[in-house]
Amino acid sequence: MTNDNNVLIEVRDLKTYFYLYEGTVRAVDGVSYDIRKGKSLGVIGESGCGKSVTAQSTMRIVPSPPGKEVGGEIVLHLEKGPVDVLKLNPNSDEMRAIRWKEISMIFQEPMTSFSPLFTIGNQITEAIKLHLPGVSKKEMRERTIELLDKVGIPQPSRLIDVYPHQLSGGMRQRAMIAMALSCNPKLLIADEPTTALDVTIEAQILELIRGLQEEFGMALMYISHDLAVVSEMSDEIMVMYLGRVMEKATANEIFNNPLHPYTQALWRSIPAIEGDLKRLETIKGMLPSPYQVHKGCPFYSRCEHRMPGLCDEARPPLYQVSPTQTVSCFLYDKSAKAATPAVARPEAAAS
Amino acid sequence: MLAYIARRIVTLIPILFLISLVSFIVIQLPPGDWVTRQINQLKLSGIQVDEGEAMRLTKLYGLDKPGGERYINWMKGILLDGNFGWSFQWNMPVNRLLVERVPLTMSISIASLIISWLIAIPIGIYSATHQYSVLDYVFTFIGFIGLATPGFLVALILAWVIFSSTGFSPLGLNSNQFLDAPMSIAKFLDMLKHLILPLLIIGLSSTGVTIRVMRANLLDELKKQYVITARAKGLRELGLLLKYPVRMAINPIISTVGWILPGLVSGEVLVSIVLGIQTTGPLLLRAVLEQDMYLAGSIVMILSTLTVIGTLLSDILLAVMDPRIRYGGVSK
Repeated sequence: MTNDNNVLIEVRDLKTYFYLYEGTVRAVDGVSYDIRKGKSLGVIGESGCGKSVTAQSTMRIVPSPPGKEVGGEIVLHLEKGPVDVLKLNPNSDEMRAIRWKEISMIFQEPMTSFSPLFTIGNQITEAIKLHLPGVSKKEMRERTIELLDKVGIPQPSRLIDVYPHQLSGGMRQRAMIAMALSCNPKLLIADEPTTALDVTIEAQILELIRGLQEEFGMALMYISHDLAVVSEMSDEIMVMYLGRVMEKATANEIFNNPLHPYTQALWRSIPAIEGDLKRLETIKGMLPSPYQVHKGCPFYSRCEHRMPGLCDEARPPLYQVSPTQTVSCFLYDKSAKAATPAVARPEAAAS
Repeated sequence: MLAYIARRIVTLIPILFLISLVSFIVIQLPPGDWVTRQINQLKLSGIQVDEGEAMRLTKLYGLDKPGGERYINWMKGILLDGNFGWSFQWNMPVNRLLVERVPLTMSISIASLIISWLIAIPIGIYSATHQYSVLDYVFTFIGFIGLATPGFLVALILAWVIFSSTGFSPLGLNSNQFLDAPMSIAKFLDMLKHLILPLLIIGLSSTGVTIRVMRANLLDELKKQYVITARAKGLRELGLLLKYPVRMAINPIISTVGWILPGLVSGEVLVSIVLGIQTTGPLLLRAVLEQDMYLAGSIVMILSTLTVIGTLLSDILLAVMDPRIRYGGVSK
């Protein structure tokens, strides 16, 4: 554990498995990360790589059964001292007090994040009533109107009383953000908040989240499969693949010096705006079945630089390449004689 | 909201008119009438009836007039005097027969509906939130048995079991010593004792369906994003369950109130016959067999009207519960 008192949340070796009829899905399999107070962490990866489950585990809202956090720790540094969230019962008063008050979340689907049966105002004040006791009805309403105004909803004193189906998708996502901010959380998790919106609205929402993060001094965990968006939103970026962390670095490093073959492949599959038109490269092979258990690196079957006998036999640890960049790949093992970092090894890939 | 209710009530008028017309036509459809049936029965028992006598009877009962005229006279009686006509078979006004039975039928139907909801909705909620648990399987098993077993069979078996083990006869509405006694607390308690069995049997037949519907709806709702949002907000599990997904899952059940009423009435015919309770079900059955046209027509019409009113009530309830329905015709 670090003694750094600027750390808000420390996640160590988090494992969240889903026990399904067809087999066990290791949705999150040994993920570690820190988020410092007021800073932002971007999480990127394909669908099914465990980004959302990681976030849900932090709030202990993984549907259980079939999901279960089977190992690791999530230490949250609160004012009263550190708490390991994984040791709490998900239904306990202590855990419920952490939700929304300390960590809140914006979801992917603005269309369904609100219940259609109650007004926007009802659902926002509900959170305030729950976590800030002693606030009068009038104050709650004023606070809600203020929040709606802050997220750019026009006529907030009228729209507080509308039902979700009367708002557009973008407006609903703004209302969702207002709800997420209602109790001044220390950490805001944004789980692909713009996936369901069109591009112009997306830009507005990103702008809004960034501005509010600064204003409220919150830490931000931004989850997306959009590389450009994540690097714009985050100080630090974590690349995930099949429930594991592949690479972790500052946004700059990930952009200019991606080290892991998977990160490199991701970059190559983005169309370039400048230069000649080229056929877009894709990552070879298929995403392995989620039920498969990987003894070695999960990216082995699709990796261009794979080293048979090494990569498929043991799980690569995280190698510290620079003070801020870590990568989980044997190519960066300084002790191994084969190690020539970031240089392609075509003879190994040929097998 | 009031405009919505008013609009719905206005649209009821043509529907009710159609119902009365169809009820009348339906009971006219079988060949022959009350008189030809009586004469046939007399002939079967060896008594000769001459043509003149038959003509006289037909005229006496007003059966010689054309259908349209009879319909208008019938409707006039109902609308102006509240008179539903004469029952040939019982030789008394239809009103007197109905006054005895419609309230009883309605109370049994509504009470058994409430009983069935009180049992089915909590079980459905439990089954959905504890999917594939032991108790879920037990309730599923019982639910399917309830679905698959005919009510009259359960009625027969239970009536026999109760009588043979306690000596109490659950048949009829009152025990023999109270049959002609005036209404008293003792008689009322005795009546309640007799009503428990039919209420349970009639209610249970729809309980199985309601459990399945509630379970399936709630399972769908539990996966929705707004439930996860509510959980992430830190709400108590039971509180959020009742405020959010259950409120949504219950809508389809409310919308069935309208047509559960006739279902209960027709489902209850056999049970009522077996248990000897004087509801409209057995009365309608006999009236149709005997071609007692005004009685049969009145019962069909009253039940259909109740169905329409039930549907209206369930629509109003739905609009109260769900803002998307309430504002459906107004905004946009």
